[in-house]
Parts: sequence; C-alpha cells; structure tokens
Amino acid sequence: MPEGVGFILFYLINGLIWGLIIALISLGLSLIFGVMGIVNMAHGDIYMIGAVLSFYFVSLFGNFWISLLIVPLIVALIAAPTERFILRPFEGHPSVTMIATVGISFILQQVALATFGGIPKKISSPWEVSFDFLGVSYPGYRLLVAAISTLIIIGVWLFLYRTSLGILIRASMQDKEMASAMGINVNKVLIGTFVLGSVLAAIGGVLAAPISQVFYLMGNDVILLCFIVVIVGGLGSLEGTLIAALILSSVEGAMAAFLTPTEARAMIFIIMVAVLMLRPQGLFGSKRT
Amino acid sequence: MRGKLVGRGMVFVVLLLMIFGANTELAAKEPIKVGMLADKTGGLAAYGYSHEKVLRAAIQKINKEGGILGRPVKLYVEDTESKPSVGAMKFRKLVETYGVDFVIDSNSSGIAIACAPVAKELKTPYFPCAGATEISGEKGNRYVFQLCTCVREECKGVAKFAVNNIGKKWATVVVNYAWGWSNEKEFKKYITENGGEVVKSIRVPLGTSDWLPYLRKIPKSAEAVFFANFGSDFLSFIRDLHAIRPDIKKLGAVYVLSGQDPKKLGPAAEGLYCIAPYPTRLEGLNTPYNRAYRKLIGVDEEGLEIGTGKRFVLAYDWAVWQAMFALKAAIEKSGWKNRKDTPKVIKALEGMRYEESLEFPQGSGYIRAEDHLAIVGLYVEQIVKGVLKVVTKIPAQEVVYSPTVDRTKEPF
Amino acid sequence: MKRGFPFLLVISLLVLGLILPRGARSLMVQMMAFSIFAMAYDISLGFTNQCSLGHSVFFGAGAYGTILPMLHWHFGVLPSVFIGFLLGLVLAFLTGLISVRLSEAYFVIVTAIFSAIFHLLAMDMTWLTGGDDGLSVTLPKIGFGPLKLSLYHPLGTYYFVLAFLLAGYLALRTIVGSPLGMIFVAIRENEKRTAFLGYNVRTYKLIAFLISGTFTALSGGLYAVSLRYATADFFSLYWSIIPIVWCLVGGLGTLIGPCIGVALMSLFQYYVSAWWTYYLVIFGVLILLILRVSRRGILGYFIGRGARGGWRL
Repeated sequence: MPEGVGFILFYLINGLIWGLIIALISLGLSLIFGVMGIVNMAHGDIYMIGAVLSFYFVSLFGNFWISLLIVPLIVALIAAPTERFILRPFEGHPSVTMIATVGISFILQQVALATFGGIPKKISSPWEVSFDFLGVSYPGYRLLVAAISTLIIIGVWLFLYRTSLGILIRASMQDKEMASAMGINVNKVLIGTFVLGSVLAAIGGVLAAPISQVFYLMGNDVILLCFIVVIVGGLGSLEGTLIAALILSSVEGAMAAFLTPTEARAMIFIIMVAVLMLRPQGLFGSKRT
Repeated sequence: MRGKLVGRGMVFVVLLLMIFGANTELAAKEPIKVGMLADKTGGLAAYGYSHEKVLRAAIQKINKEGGILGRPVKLYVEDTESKPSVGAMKFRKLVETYGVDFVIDSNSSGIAIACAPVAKELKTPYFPCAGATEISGEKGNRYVFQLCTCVREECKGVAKFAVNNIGKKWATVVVNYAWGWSNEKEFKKYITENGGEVVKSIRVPLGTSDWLPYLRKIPKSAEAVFFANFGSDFLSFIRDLHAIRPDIKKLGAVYVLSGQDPKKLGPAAEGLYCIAPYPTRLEGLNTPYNRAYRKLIGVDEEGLEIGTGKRFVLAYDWAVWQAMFALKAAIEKSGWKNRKDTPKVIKALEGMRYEESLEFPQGSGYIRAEDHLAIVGLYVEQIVKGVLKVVTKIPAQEVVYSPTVDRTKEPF
Repeated sequence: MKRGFPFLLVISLLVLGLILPRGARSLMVQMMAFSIFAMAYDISLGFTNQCSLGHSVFFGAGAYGTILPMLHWHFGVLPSVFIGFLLGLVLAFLTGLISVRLSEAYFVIVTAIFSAIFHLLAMDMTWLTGGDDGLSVTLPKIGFGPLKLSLYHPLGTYYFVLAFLLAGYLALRTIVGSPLGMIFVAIRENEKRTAFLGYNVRTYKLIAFLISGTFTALSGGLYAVSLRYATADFFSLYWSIIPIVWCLVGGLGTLIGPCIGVALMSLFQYYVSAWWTYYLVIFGVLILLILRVSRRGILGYFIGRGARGGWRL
C-alpha cells in the first residue's frame, strides 16, 4: 500500500504543519514560564478560547480573517488583568502557579461548556481549494496555515529582537534578578509577556479550528505536547522550543506512515525521554547548576 | 336550634372525614424513586441534555395521569461527567443517598459496563441507553436491560442494504473504545455473510483532531467506508475524508450525526448514509403517536428543541422514553410495592411485548427474556441536498439474532 | 488536646462507619482511598520538593495490579492488593531511576511523559486493560481462618479501606518522623547544603519517590477494590494533576493537609455537582482564593497562624 516517497512525504508535511501550530502555542508557553515562572496549565484552554471566539465571529460576520484580527485583541484584554490581579502573587512559585492555573483551567472549560455548549462545532475552511499532489487532494488551507504561522513566528522574532519591550522580555528571561536590578519596568514586562504568550496560544486556536474542531475540551489535546516541546527544546530557549516543535511533529508525522499514529505518539515520547537522559538540559537549554 | 347544631355537626364530621381521609391517601402515595445517570459534562455532554429533558417529559406525563399504581414518580439526576468511574460513583449515590429503586441511562457504553456489576450488587434494575453488544451479552446481568438497539442488531440489519445499495468492498474506521470495536467486529461479520468484503480496518483514538494520517491508509480498492464516531471526531473525520477521497461512499453507525445540522456539513456529507433507530425528522415516521411524542418532548419536525433551537439526540432519546414506560408497565403488571418485589418487576420485563403507541413511538417490539435486549426495527437515513431522508426501513425480523446468554437462569 | 487529636480522629473514623448513612459512607470510602494517595504524593512534593506529574502511572498500576490477578487467576483480595503494591514499587523504582536525577522542570516533564506513555499504552492494549471501558470484577470473600469477610457487606469495604488508611498513615508518619524523614526535609529546604554535608541527595530523593509511588499504588488498588473496577482512564493526566490540587489546597508537607484537600474536593464533587452542573467553576475560584490567602494551603495557613509548635500530627 505505501507508494513510496510520496506517501512518506505526505505524512512528513502534515506533521510539519501541525508542528508550526504547536510551535506557536509552545512559544507562548515558553515565554510565560521563562519570564514569570508560571507553569501555565490553562494554556491549552486559551487555545480553546481562541477557537471558540473565532467560531462566534465567523457565525456573526461570515469572515474567518476578521477573527484572526479581533480574537487576539479580546484575549489580550482578558489576559492582562488576569496576570496583574490573579496570577501576580503566585509568580516565582512554579508548583503554586501550576495549581492556580489548573483552577483557571476549570473555570475556562466550564464557562465554555455553559455558553458554547457540549456539542463540538465546525468552522468551515476559509479556503476550500485543494491541491493534487503526493497522491491525494491536499487541503490548501493547511498550506496557508503553515504560511501564516511562519509569518507570525517571524513577527514574534522581530518583536523580541527589535522592539524595546521585546528586548526587555528577553533580558528578563535570561536573568531575572539582573533585569530588575537594572530598574526595568517590571509591571510592563510581566503583563506584556503574559499577553504575548496568551495571544500566541489563541491565534494557534483560531488557525487550528478549521482543521480540527471547536470543542470545550480541545485544550487537553495540545497542552502536554507543548510542555514537552518547551522542555525538550530547553527551558529559556525560544529557538529550542521552535526547533523541538518542528522536529518532534515532523518525526511523529513521518512515523505515522508506518505505525498507527498512537504508536507514533508513544515512540515520540520514548525518544524524548531518551533525549532528556542524554542531555538533561534539553537541546538548547543552558546547563544550570 | 337543635337542627342547626346537628347540621353543623354533620358538616363538621364530614369535613373531618375528608381531611383525614385525604391524609391517609396522601400517606400511601409514597413516590417511586427513579434515578438518572445523565452525561451532562465531558465528551458526551450533548447527549445528557436531551436525554434528561425527554425523561422529565415522560415522568411529567405519567404523574399528570395519576402516577404508577397511584404513586407519583420522583426523578433524581446525577452527572456522569462522561467518565466510567464517576458514573459508577453516582450510581451508588443515587441508590445509597437518594434511595432510588431504578436507574435509567447513560449513553456511554463504558459507563454502562462499569455500572452493570454495581446494579447487581445493589439489586437495582438498570436501563442504560448505550449500544455496546456486551451490555446484553457477557458484561450484563439479570438487573441490566438494554432497551435500545445494540450494535449487533444495527450491523446485522443494515448489512444487506449496504451490500446491495452502497458497495461491496468496504473500509471500516472506528473510534478506539468498546462501541467502536463492537461496530468494527459486527459490521465485518455481517457484511461478509452478505457477500461483501472489508479490505481495511482502522481504529482512531477518541479526540483525535487530525484524521488525515489515519484516513490516508484507506486503500484505493475500497468503494465505501463504514464509520463509527460522533461529535468532534465525526466533524474531523468527514472533513478530512472529503479531502482525501471525495468519491467514496459513506455509511455511518448510529449516533454519528448526533447534534449535527446536515445543512452545515456541506458537500463533505452529501450522500452520506447512516443507521438510525429513530428518524430524525418527523417525515420519516409520520404517525399520530410520533407526532404526539415529539410534541410532549418539545421538538419540531426537524428535530430541534422548540424555543432554544438546540438539537436533540433523537437517535437514542426514544430509548429513554420507552424505558420509563416499559418500567411503568412492568410495575403495574407485577404490583411492585418496594425493593423486595424487584425480582417480580424483572420477571415482568422479561419477554414483555409492546405495541406502537404514544408510550412506544419508535414501533412495536419486545424485550427478549434471555438477554434483556429490545428487539425492534430500524431505519437507514441519507443526507440528500442537505436534508436527512429515510431511505429504507428494516423490520425487526431482519435484525434479530440468537441470544448469547440466558439470564432467566441467573439467580437474583 | 493537640496530642490527643489524632487519637480522636481515629475514633471518629471508626464510629462514622457505623452511623453514617450508606451514601455518605461510600463517599468516605473514596475519600479514605484518595487520602492515601494524597499523603503519598505529599512525600514526593511536600517533603522532597519533587513535583511529579507521573503518579497516575502508579495509581493505575496499583488498580490493575489488583484487579487483574482477581479476574484472571482468582487470587484473593489481600494478595491482589499486595501485588498492586509491589507493582507500584517496581514502577516507581524504574521511573525514578530515570527521572530523579533531572532538575525541577525537567523532572516534571519526564514524569508527565511517563504518564502519557502509560496512558496511551493502556488505552491501546485493550485486551489487557479493557481500554477506557475498563474491567469489572466480582470480589471474593476474604478469609481469616474460619471467619469470612465479604466486601459486599455494607460495612465491609469501609473498614477494609480504613484499616489500610490507618496502617498507611502510621507508616508514613513514622518515616517522616525518623532520621530518614529529617533528611528529606533537609533536601527540601536546601539541596546543595545537604549534599555538602555528605548525603547522596539523589539516592534519598529516589527513596522518597519510591515510597511515594508505592503507597500511591496501594491507593489505586484500594480504589479499584471499592469500585470493583479499573479503567485505562486511571493512567490519564487528570490523576497526576489531582493529587497536586489536594496537596496545595490542603497544605503541603503536613501529611494531614492533603487529606483535607481530598475531603474538600470530594465533598464538592459529590454534593455541589447535584445543585449546579458547572460546579468546577466554583471549585476553580475556590482554589484561587485559597492559594491567594495562603500559598501553603489550608492547613499551612493554620499552622502559620498557630504560633509556636504548631500541630504535631
């Protein structure tokens, strides 16, 4: 049945596309943990909220692309006060933030259930074109997702390396004590980081919705993988997160050509354990004493 | 003067008698307690909503008409959170904390299988509305009644139609748990018996968002695909299948369309067939009984709840309704007064026959004594230009198979 | 009074079994089984600062280690619980060897990966685990010579689990109060200094992890016995996260604190879910409030307030 290279290439590319979406979400997670020490267990639910809001906008305006602009704004408006007033007291204590964000996760999920409902819903693909290659009709929208995700990632990079707030955020990530000792506006950095991280997750949700579905528990699908990507990439290293997301998803995708996807996922986990045993700080993490 | 006193006295005595008489009547009207395991949150959240409404409507009707044997029915509802361990805990809670004598529902085969032994341990008749064949098979017991269609009935019933009208070479794609495997196994068995062939069987974990990698494995030789999934999985499946094989014919197991609006599914679902124990639209079963039933539960001709526009999971809602009325009939027939009489109710249910009526709008049928399974007919529906139409009705005789157990020999 | 408190608690638990109505008694059984889990997890997180997300592996292993021998080989209840206990020990040792050497966040993720691997395998290997639908079992009677105890007797399961809870608590309390326990606390307070004093920190962390995993498996086995059922869902991330909620809400590093967390969450789920389907919203808000008032959880709050000495539980 496998028709050779085309078959494997199909799986590889499919994996890569999901890898880009996972990279977006994981970058957000990495920033939030790296700068503020928050183990954000609600990160997957922000992804879900992005998809849910997008569903409502598509129903209202009939246009998918509008939601790509509006949803980040709404999420930013919710994220900023959440960080400042709810999470701020817990920052710096990872296990406490873990449980606090579990609490937030409960709230987000149940609110979504109560409003959006328990029935999973579909957002039609904004671009119904399909391209015939690799032996199948490959949905053009997925290629578009890859392009948009890449653009956003480049945008994030520009933000972090070219804007003053971005540089402050990176500095805080590398050395918190030094950063605050140099009198940086801590408030701005903290809120800015949390907003950026949440927005990335929400955009991931908006992009993913047409190729998965909108359901109040959809966050649970991605959260573990994103945490793993952040760690295997190396804590404190955004490049590591990005590369880990792409490599892991592509390899898993390629393996799914031969194994069942469940087995491929299990293999990936085993490989990651091996990586961490050989290189406990992750691919690009610094060796901390 | 004396006449007036006597008159007043008599009025007074009559009043006393009425009050006291009424009181003793009230004292005898202890409610019959029924528990419900509704899947209100979790993966099956869509089902719990309509199942609860339907059962409440049934009980309201019963109470309006004088209750069962003069006693009102009281309903206690607990949320299973779509998890077997929570379901089993709530089953116990219903019986031990609230003192219910009968439990109806969960739509989840996993929950039904987890609760079956608890039902026997607590000697409480249990009426799950889940499709796994094992519920009336090896995983059931004398207290468990499967009053909905089971997967084996569904696959056996549809096989001939499938081979003759849809295709001969099939791929099966199912979700990876009991209900899915049941469908995979039974479909293969009966399709093969009817001259068809299953060329590939694919299992997909529940909650998979991207079905493309799984569906890519469907061989080109497969003309049609039989699938068992629902909810978010169904949406992903139908979308990704359309991208890969827009030409392939599709037959879905029961449930697949639960909660979905066929119009919104678009070209991906056009021409899709699905097994339905009960037609979604009134047009498919336009009898006075069905019209009255749908009015009482509050749905319109399209299957939407009047007022909220929410989609009811009509595919199994009828089983919840009929379970309640079957129970009522059994209580009346056996003269059940309290838990000591439960074996009598069970014996009354075993072999019970019922006619199509407002209480049994899905159609006439009977409860087989040996395995406690409902033997009824079913339908095949198809999405034609965005509208669900019934294309064929499969009578009960074609659906029936020999029971694998004999519960009548099982001690209470 | 403070010395006598634990004694009072034991007597209450013994008496409650007799006077509680059936429904509340079943809830107590669940809370007692979970309390063992919570205390075991406290050893890992509260006493040696190892925030594991992999304890669902031990919980599920304990459950299946207990159910499978009863189902396939007709073992008795006690031997099966013991097998579950041993299985937990073995798995804790193997996963501990790999994970314990890793620092904080890496430790968390590797343990989470173990949990994910076991969950995937359990859901897939349905011939062994019954998948998500799980396996039900009929419990044989437990024989003590001429006496036969049936766990189907209304009081049977309650006192069975209570016995293990008391034994487990005594064992863990003894460990925590022993020199070994002191080393655990020392590691928690300052790992570097403890190493400097000549202790092989890694070995002691592994021992703590072992103890934690083994008693978690015991809890899983008892829970399975109380439900007469095990499911692959026991390996899911939910069961790894929930002990952390119990410990942090109740009070880390106190052994009794986590039990308070168990009680709070279980009562909430049992009663509030009947009034309001979306009870988790309230619980989420409650978590945030409790942590806001006291990062050390409910018991931590009272210990902090209770001046010198605190409660020696």
